[in-house]
Amino acid sequence: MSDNNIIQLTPSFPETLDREAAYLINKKVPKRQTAVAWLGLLAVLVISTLLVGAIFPDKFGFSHIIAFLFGATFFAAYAYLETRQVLKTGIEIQKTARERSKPIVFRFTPNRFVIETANGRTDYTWDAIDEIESLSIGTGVRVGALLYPIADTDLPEALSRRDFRARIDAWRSAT
Amino acid sequence: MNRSDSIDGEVSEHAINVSFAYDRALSRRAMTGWWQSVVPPEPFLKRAIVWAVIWFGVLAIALVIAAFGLSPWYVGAGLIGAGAMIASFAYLQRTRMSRFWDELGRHWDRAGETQVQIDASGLAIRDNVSQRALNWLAIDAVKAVRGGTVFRSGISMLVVPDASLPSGLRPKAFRERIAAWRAQ
Repeated sequence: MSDNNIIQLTPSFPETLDREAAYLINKKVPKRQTAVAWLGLLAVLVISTLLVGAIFPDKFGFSHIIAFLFGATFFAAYAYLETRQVLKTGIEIQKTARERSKPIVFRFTPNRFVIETANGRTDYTWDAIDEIESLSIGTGVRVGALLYPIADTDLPEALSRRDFRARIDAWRSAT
Repeated sequence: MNRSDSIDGEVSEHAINVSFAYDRALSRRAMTGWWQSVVPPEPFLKRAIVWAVIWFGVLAIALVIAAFGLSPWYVGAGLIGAGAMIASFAYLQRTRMSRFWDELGRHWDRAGETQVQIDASGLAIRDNVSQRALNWLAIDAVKAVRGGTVFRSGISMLVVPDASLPSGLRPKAFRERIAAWRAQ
């Protein structure tokens, strides 16, 4: 039956999934590495405070640490806002590109994952798929740096997220 | 007129065929070009003015603090604090991005060599594991970077290394031809 071998859907691209996709690479940085980076920051804070205190004992006291932390917080806040802006822009250009490429159809078959749009066609063999990710309200199919999000509500009726996942996992591991 | 001139100058309907392998260093640069095609860098003068304003502000804070009888060294401490934060963020960003390029590299291990055909209708991209056909409407931007040409489609990008271009086709002429095809 062809129904068993083709899953076709029109992705709705909810923003929640786009945001999760953007953070996917962050998630891949091992926690240890992040911890090392923050411990390193702490060490830099302490050492530079001691250092400056040692070089200018009369001019630099403990209260300067407050100023130091103020400077650090100021830049952290700036970096946070900047990152958010970059993320927002990324989501925005993606949205614009999709809007122009409508209609978009995702088709999963035993051999391929095909994306058909008004302006092009992308045809991946299952070998091209790096990862299938479980997301909050859907599933993500990752190819290189791209994550194709499939919201649970995009799935054909009678196909649950678990069934969908099981089926594409089976197809992927069969190749 | 030498041969390369005639190839470059041709107003051609001929397709351009290139093939290349994943180049991590070029991809990194391409990423910058990709981003600049979204948010063009501010002109030098504007950046200079912004920095002048920032440093003037720092100086002003130092003066105000001094006027209140506090040591302007507080400003120095604040600057060092910001500097320490910048260094940590730069380090985090580096590890994060190198992880990113590792991931991409893994994908390209399977994808192998990329073959691209570019012609009046758009791009046809093919490797061991995938096949893409994009018409020019799908291409949001074409941007030159050192060593290559970046094609941006939404958030995805393709970078064609200059070294892969057919002999006699200079990168600039290549981009001119693309511009003509896109304008059609």
